[in-house]
Amino acid sequence: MLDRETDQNEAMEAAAPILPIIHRILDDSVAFYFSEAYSPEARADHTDRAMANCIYSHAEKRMLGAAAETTGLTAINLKGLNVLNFNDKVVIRFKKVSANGRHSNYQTEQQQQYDDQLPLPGIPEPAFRLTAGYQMDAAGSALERIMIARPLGRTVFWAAQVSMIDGTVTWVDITPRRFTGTEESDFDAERARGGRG
Amino acid sequence: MRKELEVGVDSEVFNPDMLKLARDARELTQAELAQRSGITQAFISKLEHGLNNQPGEDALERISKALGFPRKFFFQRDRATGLPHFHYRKRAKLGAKPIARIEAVINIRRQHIAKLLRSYEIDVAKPIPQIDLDETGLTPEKVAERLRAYWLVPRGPIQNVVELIEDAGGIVILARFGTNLLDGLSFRLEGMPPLFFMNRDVPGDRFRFSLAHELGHMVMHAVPDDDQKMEDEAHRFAAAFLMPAAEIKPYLVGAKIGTLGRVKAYWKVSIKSLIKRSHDLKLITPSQYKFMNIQYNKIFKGEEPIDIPLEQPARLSSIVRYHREQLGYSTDDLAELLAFHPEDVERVYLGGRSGLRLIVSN
Repeated sequence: MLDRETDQNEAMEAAAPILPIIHRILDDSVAFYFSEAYSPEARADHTDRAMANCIYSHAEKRMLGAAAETTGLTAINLKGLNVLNFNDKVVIRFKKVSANGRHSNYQTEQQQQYDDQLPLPGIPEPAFRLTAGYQMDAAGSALERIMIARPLGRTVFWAAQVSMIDGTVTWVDITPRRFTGTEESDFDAERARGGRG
Repeated sequence: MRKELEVGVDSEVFNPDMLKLARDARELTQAELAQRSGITQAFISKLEHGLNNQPGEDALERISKALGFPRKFFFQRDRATGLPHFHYRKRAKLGAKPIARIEAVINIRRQHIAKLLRSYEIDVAKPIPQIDLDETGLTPEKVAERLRAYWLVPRGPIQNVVELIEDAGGIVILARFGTNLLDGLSFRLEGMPPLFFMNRDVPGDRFRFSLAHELGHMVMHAVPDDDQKMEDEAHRFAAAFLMPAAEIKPYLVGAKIGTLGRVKAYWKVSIKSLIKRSHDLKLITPSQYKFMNIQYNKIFKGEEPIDIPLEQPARLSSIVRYHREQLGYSTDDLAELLAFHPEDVERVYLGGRSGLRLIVSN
C-alpha cells in the first residue's frame, strides 16, 4: 500500500538533488521564450501549442546539457519521448501543465504508457515516474509556477509546487482538492488498474 | 460653450475669472478659501463676481499665498475656456467639484501653452483632419482606415499614438486628474493646435485607447451631436485605428484568454479591448463574448497582466527647451511669462521631482 502522502514524500526526497536543475531548466526556458530572442510579433503569432513547442525545445536542450554535466543524471530518448533519469530512482519528463498539474495535448503511445505508469522498455523500474511541469499565467504571458506531478492515467496522483527562494529549493503539496480522497487509495492498485478514463 | 481665446496680456486690473480658476484648481470652496486666507467669504464672493475689483495689497497677498499662485496670476486678462463636455472620456459619474478642478488645471495649462506658442512655430506636413461623417457618408471605421493611410501608418500595431498626433501638430499633455474616472479630454481652440489632456495615472494600453478615442473626436466631431452617438463613434474609430479589422483578425480567430496576453504585448491594447474587438468583428458569438467577459473578470479582477509602457509626449517639453536654449529663458523668466511660481515651473515643465503634475492637492 502506497498512499499519496508517502509516495509524494519519497519521490520528492529522491528527486531533491536535481530539483534545482529542474527548476532552472524550466525557468530559463520560459524566460528565454519571453526574452528578446522572440519578437512580440512572433509570440503573438504563436498558438498555445506553438508556444509550448518552443519552450519544450529550449527545455530539451537544457535538459541534455544538464545530463552531460551532472553525475547520475542521464537523458533517455524513447522514440521522441525525452526524459531525465536520475540514478534510476527518478524519471522526469517536461511538460506544460494546467493548474492541477495535468497536460492536455495529444499523446503518443509511449507518452500514454509513461503517464499510465506502465512498464516501458528503457525506463528503469521501479523509479518514480514524474512530470516536471510549468504553468503559464492566465493570459499566457508569463510563468505562473513550476511543479512536479505524479501522473496517473489522465489524472495526477499528486502535485507539488517547486519554488526557488534565495538559491534554495522548497516544495509544497498542491494536489487539487478534487483529487483528495486518493490519500487512502493505493498507488499500485491504481496503477494496476491502468485505466485512462 | 466655447469662448474665443484671449491670450493673456497682463494688466493692472484684477481679473475675477483668474481667482475662480485658481480656487477651482485647488478644489476649494469660497468658505474654505476664506478660512485659509483669513479673508471673509463675502469679500471673496464680491471679488469673484466683479463687484469689487480692487482687493488691496494685503488681501491679494493672502489670497495669493493661500492658493499658491503668484500675484501676477490674478492680473492676467485671460478668460477661462468652457471645455466641450462631449470630448470627455468619462468612465463613470464624475462629481462637479473634481470636474471644476480638472477644467481649471486644463485652463491654466492651456494659458501656458498659448503664451509659449507666441515664440514657437509648429510646422506640420499632415495635420489632424476634420471629417464630417454625415457629409462624407463615411463610417468611423472607414475614417480610421483613411487616417492611417493619410499618415502613412505601417500595417500592424501602431508603435506610438502620441508621436503620430504630435507629428500632426497636436500637443499631448500628461496630467494628474486625481481620479481614474476621466481618461482624457481634447479640444481645438482658435489659433492653437489641437490639445489632448490625458490622465497619466492609467495603464499604458488604456492610455493609448483613450488617446485614439480623443483623436476620433478631434477628427469626426467638429460640431457637437448626441453625446452617446459621439462616444460610440469615437470608440469605433479608436478600435479600428488601433486594431484594423483585416490586420487584427488573424490574431483573434480562435483566441482564448490564455493567448490574448501575447497578442496584447504585440498590439499594445488591453485584453478587454481584444475581447470586445473579437465580438465586434463577429469572430465570437454573443454567448462566447459573455463567457469570455465572465472569465476575464474572474481571472483579472480589474488588473490585467503585461504592462504597456505609458507613451511620453515630446512636443511641450521641446517648446520649453526651445525657450530655455534658443531664447535664453531662465526659470524665473518662464515663471514670469507663465504667471507661475518658479518652483512650479521647475516641477511641471523642467522635469522636477514630481514630473508633470500641475497642481499640488490640498
